Amino acid sequence: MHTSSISLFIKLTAPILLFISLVYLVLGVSFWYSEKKNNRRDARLLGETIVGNLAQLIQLHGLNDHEWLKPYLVSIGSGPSILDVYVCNDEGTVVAGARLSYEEESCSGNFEGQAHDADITTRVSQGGSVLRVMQPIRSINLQQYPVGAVVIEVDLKDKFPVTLWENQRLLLLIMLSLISLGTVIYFFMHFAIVRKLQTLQAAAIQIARGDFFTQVPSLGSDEFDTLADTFNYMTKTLGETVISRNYFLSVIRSVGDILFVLDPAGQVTMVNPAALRTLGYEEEHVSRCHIRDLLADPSDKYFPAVNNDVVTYPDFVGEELELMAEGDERIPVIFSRTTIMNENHEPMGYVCVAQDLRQRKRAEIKIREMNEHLQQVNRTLQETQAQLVQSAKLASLGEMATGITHELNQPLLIITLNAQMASKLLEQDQGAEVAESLSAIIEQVNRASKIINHLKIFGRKSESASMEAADINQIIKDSYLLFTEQFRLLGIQVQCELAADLPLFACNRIQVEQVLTNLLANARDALVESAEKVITVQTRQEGENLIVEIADTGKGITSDIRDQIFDPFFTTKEIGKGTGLGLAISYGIMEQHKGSLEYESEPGKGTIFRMKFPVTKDA
Amino acid sequence: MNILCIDDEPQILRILTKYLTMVGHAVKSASDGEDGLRQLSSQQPPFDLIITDVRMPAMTGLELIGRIRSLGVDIPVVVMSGHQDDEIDKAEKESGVVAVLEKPFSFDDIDELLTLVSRLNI
Repeated sequence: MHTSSISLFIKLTAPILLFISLVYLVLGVSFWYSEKKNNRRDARLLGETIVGNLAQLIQLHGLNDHEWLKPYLVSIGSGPSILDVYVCNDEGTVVAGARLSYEEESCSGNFEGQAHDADITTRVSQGGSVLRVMQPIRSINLQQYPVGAVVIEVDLKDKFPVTLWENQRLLLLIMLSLISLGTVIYFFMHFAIVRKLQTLQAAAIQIARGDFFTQVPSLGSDEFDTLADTFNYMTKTLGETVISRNYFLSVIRSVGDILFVLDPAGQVTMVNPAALRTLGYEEEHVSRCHIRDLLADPSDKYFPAVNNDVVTYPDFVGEELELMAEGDERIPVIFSRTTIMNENHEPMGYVCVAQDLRQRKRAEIKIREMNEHLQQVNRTLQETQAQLVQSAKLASLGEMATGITHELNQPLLIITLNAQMASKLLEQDQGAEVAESLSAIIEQVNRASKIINHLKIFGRKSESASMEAADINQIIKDSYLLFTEQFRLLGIQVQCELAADLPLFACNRIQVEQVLTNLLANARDALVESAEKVITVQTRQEGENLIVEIADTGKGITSDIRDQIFDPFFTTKEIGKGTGLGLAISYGIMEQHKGSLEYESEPGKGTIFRMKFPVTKDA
Repeated sequence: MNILCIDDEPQILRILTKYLTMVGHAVKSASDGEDGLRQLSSQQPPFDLIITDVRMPAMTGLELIGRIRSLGVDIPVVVMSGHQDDEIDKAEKESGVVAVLEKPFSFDDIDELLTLVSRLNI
């Protein structure tokens, strides 16, 4: 780049220097020639003037007496550039002159017949050129006959070098100006041409290195810019041709799935690295293969072996096949084949893409295993849930046990004491009073029997109990049996507002009783610290629904736990008193009955739980 | 002995009164704690024994004992309980409770109890 720049410099500067030299030469020569010509003219004019005047003077005075001439001639001869001046007679003999002596032939030359015109000759002497002007002197009477001649010799070179030197200074000035101009032109050219050329050269080097995205920036608004545009266009076109090939090769090489390009006969012509990696073959091996050789099942229907080399296999997408990898490993793949068509819609070959399914298969196995595990967990969960239901039932039974203790202890005590009393009365023969004791015993036995009968029903497995038509009011009364004594002792007043003539409804009696037991127990617990202790149990029919409301005047449910009260294991009761399952199980039971369990609560004032059962006509 | 029986269950109260009278004691009965306290304050000569149920509405047997003690009365008390063990334990710890009758009990248990109390009084 640097070398070419110097070369360009020389190329640009040499003609300029040559031109300057030429101009200098031409000017020098023309100056010299012009000076020489001027000198000659001046010398001639000087000579002619002097000799003309002298000739007239001599014509007037005559040549016979010529002594007066000498001082004139000496005076003229001492003038600048004048080499000599003298007068000769008609015989050519010098009669007077500036010098002391003359040769006889000094006035050589024939001046006869030249009565008027001066004879001008130039001769070269030792010092240089000499101009000799000879003016004939006319006879005053016979003018056509010259009586003599005046001759003057002027040195032509005397004046010339001075003027030439002066002219040379001028030339030097001109030359310096030209050199300056040349320098300016060089720098201008350097910036206007060389720089731009360097930019273009740099771009060209980039392209040579394979960078087809190089673009030459704008180079101003001259021809170089047009050149840059052309250059860019060329780069782009070149890039499109060269890059596209490399680019598409790179694309094919970068495809993550297995890719084969086949010729129309099914012979592999190209294979991508992913295929080699997956199958574990060398490229040379695969390149010699027919696609059939790479299939695990060579008789595969997709590439039937045929004798005719040119066969058009139909395109297909997403078929599950197996490829044969190095070491006879079968690799499951999703295989697609597409025909490559040329411009004339003739098959040029096929592109086969295959996606390795091994990872997916492994994932499927894992998912299946996880699924099985999940099912196992689910079964465990269901078992746990069943256990929870049982626990909840036991919790309800625990609740009842408290009631039973209360309810049965009293009648048993009364029975015991009355039986003993009867026995004592009989001993004392007070038969009439025995009857009183016996009736008390019967009354208490009946009371206890009721509770025990109720427990028998409750003891049945609720799961096995089928849905039966039941009277909701009766179920409430039965559930209440176990709470009678507790409510009495706790001072809880119970108001029953049970609507008469309610339709029977289909239910699992035990489960419904379980819900009622839970709700009554919750109401009881909510009232422990309340001043007003009232539980209102109400039944009514609303359209197609049976409604049971159990309202208490307890502390109510605070808003922060409202979303949680139906959650399993959520309880506000002391540890050991509540399982946290009562409402959760109750909710589930109501859902099983296609009914609902909801509540309204006002903290400090009480809570209403509402059970809603659908009444079906066939119930 | 002058005995005060307190129970909210009329059948129990009736049979207890009948038996204790039968075996020769002067018996007064009250259906709740307030009634019992009233009779306690008006009784002359004072009661020798108080038999009370634990679980009663309004005032429990244990609350009643507390009230009696706060009046400065130091009469032996027998409590009747048919419920949890912790309730019996609580009753036994009350001052002046000489025995706990666990429901259901018999007249033999009452006889034993009266023997015990008569010994205490001597």
